[in-house]
Amino acid sequence: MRLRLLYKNDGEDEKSLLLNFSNRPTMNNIKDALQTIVARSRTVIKDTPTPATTVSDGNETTPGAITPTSTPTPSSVGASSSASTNGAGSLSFNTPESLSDASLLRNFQLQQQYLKEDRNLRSIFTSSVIDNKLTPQLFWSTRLNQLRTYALTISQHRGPYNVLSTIKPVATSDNQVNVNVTRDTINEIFDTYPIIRRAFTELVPSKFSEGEFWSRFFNSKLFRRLRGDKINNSTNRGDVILDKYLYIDQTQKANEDKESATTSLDQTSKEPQSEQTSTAPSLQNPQIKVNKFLDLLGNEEDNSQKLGNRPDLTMRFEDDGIKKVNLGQENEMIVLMKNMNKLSSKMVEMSNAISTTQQSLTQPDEPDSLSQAEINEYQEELNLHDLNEVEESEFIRLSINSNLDAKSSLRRGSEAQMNHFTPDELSSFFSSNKFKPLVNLSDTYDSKNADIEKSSNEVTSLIKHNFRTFKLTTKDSHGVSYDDVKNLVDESLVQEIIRYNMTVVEFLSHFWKLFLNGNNPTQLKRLFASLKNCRNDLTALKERATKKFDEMELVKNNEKLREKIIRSLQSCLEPMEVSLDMACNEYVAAVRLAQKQQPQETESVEINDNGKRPLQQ
Amino acid sequence: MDAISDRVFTETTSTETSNDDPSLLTVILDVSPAGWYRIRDQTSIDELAKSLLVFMNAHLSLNNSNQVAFIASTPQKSKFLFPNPEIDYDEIRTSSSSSGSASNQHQKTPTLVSKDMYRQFRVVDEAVLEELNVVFDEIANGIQDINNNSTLSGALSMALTYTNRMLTLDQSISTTTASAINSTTSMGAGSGSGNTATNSSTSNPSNSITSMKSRILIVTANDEDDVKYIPVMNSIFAAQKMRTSIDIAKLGFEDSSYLQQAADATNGIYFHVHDPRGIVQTLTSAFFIEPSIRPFIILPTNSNVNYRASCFVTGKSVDIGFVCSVCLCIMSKIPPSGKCPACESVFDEKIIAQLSKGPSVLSKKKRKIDTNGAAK
Ligand SMILES: [Zn+2]
Repeated sequence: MRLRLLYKNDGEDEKSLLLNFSNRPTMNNIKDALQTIVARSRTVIKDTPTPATTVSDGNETTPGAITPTSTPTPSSVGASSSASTNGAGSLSFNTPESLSDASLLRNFQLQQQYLKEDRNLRSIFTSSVIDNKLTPQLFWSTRLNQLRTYALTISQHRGPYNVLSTIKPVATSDNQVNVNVTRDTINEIFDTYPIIRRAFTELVPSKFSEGEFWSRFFNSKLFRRLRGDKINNSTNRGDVILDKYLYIDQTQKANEDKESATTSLDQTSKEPQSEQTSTAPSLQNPQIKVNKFLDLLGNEEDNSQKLGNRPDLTMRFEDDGIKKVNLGQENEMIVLMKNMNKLSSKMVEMSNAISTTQQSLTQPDEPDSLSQAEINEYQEELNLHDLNEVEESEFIRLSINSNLDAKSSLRRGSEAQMNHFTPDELSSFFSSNKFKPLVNLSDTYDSKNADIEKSSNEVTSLIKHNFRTFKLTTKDSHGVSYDDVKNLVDESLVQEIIRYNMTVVEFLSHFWKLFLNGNNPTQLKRLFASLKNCRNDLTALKERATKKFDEMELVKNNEKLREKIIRSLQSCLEPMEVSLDMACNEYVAAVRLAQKQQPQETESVEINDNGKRPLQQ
Repeated sequence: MDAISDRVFTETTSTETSNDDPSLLTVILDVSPAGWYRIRDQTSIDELAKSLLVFMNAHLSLNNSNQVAFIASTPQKSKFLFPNPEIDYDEIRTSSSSSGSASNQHQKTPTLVSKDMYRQFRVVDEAVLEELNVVFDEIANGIQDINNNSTLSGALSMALTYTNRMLTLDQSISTTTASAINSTTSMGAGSGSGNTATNSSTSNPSNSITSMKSRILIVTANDEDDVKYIPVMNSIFAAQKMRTSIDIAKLGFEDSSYLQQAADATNGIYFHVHDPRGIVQTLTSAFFIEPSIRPFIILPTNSNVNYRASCFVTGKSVDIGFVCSVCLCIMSKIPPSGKCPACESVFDEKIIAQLSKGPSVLSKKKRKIDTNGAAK
């Protein structure tokens, strides 16, 4: 039995080594050990962006220094930290009032930040508010929902999560395994999994370097177990030293729980804003009084084991003292579930800690005195809804009158058209169309070459047109280059048209909203003036572009091309022109009508009004 | 438990139907008199019908099990010209030389197409031509009572119900065609309204045995936009569900925005035939594309679709209108009754008052606006 090793030192040729064995178990052991070492050495811990300290740089930092002192790095500032640490200021939205329409409209800081983040909105804002004097008030008034959503978005921050499950070792081409972790991630790992912190504390300065610790860790069973992967004891490689913590984790559950409680206490107390006093008593795990409603220990009193049928594996009550002997052979499923449960409660605890520190401490925590609402909630939880009778859904019968068009007297527009021809004409026309034997189908194409060619061209040109459109619309996504087609149109002109379009749409939407529903003639008048301006600018733009095209050598000498370009330009601008004209005309018409309806007598009314609000002079 | 940390979805797309599947082509010819009369200088309806026959024959020749159907939509009603449940096509096929029997009136008259024609073509062509003659007679005689209502929506519903039958029923049963046609015609023929469309989705697709492809071609010269909006829209949705494309060959002068929408929504082809003299070319090229390959090629369709909706009250297109919050009925004006014309829901008076009060353009500063408005 032989084992052949290939190895290579830097810059040297590959060498091989042959080991002879006399018995297979020994060889297998050696082989496994070697494989573990190779795998470990191939794991590269990469420390992404965070500048300060890296894991693999050999800079031996003590864990105590790592954890709590680390402050949020600049990249993570922005939303979460500013919202949670500032606490005050216009970017916190703890009260319902701060989300009301009025206060959102007043919250310039929020608006500014939103504009900073949303480029699209910013360009609309620039063109409509800054360049064209739309009032910011009006601009935001139609976007209150967006603003509110944004406010809620930035006032939220990430809760605790299963950090390890987000870490995915990636195999590279040169047979290395890369693991990307940031300093933040490591802190999160320590917070979520105290056992890792403990291992780190115990091992790092004395036994391994920090880098080695992590590369061992990512190859260990401990890592897989904590992540929620299934580990198979016999086949998978692990790490002898770190895997011990798998069992430490189980045997010293009680101690460790205590420890975790204190560490989380440590950690919360070090958060800038929380005072020592603010850590709620509920964090001391052992002292928590679990409500009987939720207490699984209550199963002991209701032990079905004594009654004969073996309960489900998750429901078996085991006395820790007796079962400890079989450690490691506990049902894999149970271990995983326990781990997951532990993790979940850890997360709940962490987010509770955050929220309780934010809340005032005036409410004493008395778990056993449940409020009526809580009792209801628990009872609701216990209710097996799917066993209840399903309620019949009730429908309201809609009597849709789909024949209304036949009856409607308004629909007689077609009669006018019928009058163009007498019924007799139509009658004889149809009689003359009757088929007589023998019908020869070749009539449809015989001696019709010219017509057929014409039709063919019609189809082809439409396909060509559609193909061009297709190319244009797929250009960006496919990265097809268009060097062969010389682009006559200036990119800046295209951008200008796009910007105009955004502005016009913005103004029009405000205009129609006010025109149709609003009760603010002054504002409406102002918008009307803006629309007029837009219309004039558009005409100017058109003239400018046309002139520019005319100056182009290529266009000047090619009447057909010129026509085509002008037509394209027209079709670009036409929708804007039509909609602007429509809005302006409607407005003018409405003003005229209103004036007719309110003849001179309104003068008196006006005076009354003026009494409250003086007329502009 | 692996699922907690890792979940990988592998999407497997099932391969599409094979290319040998039979295909059903349903042609709807809109015989609205005014439209055809108006383009009488360009073409006549009989010329066009002949081109359509060539088109259908071409479709039949592509695959032995391909199917065709032909529906005429006249101002009075919509009806199937082919297949026709009252005619036993087998009889025509066997007794090719009208030897006797002939209780059927069709066989007394001399045949309209040459007896030498390929039999499958002849059966279809003969039936369509004869029935078209009947249709023309009916129109010519009944021209006084014609109210010029379009029955196109009814014809579309009939086409869809027939298509649905053909897609879901076992083709091997020879009576299928007749039974399918019987039930669909009895449902749709008389009223010609769009109510049948809603039934098309009820049959269970699981009993489908053949995987047939299907499309519908509407040929119309009607320039009126007065199509029944709701039934047409319902038909469009049904066609989408059935994956049936609706192709439109629009003759005449105007585009029809609702038919454009029908084609656009069903991956169909909308083509405005400006000059119908060479239409046989258009039919056998632009409209000859099987729906299954349409996603992959550039279609000769006019993609400038007008998505406007139609007012339920006036039947005209709406720019700015009102929508019933109960049934989504679209109105260009609020009915004087204050009720939704389609579902009779009573609208809130306060809201009506607010909506109909008109724009408040001048309350206090009337005169200022006046000068502005006049100046510009
Ligand atoms: Zn309604």
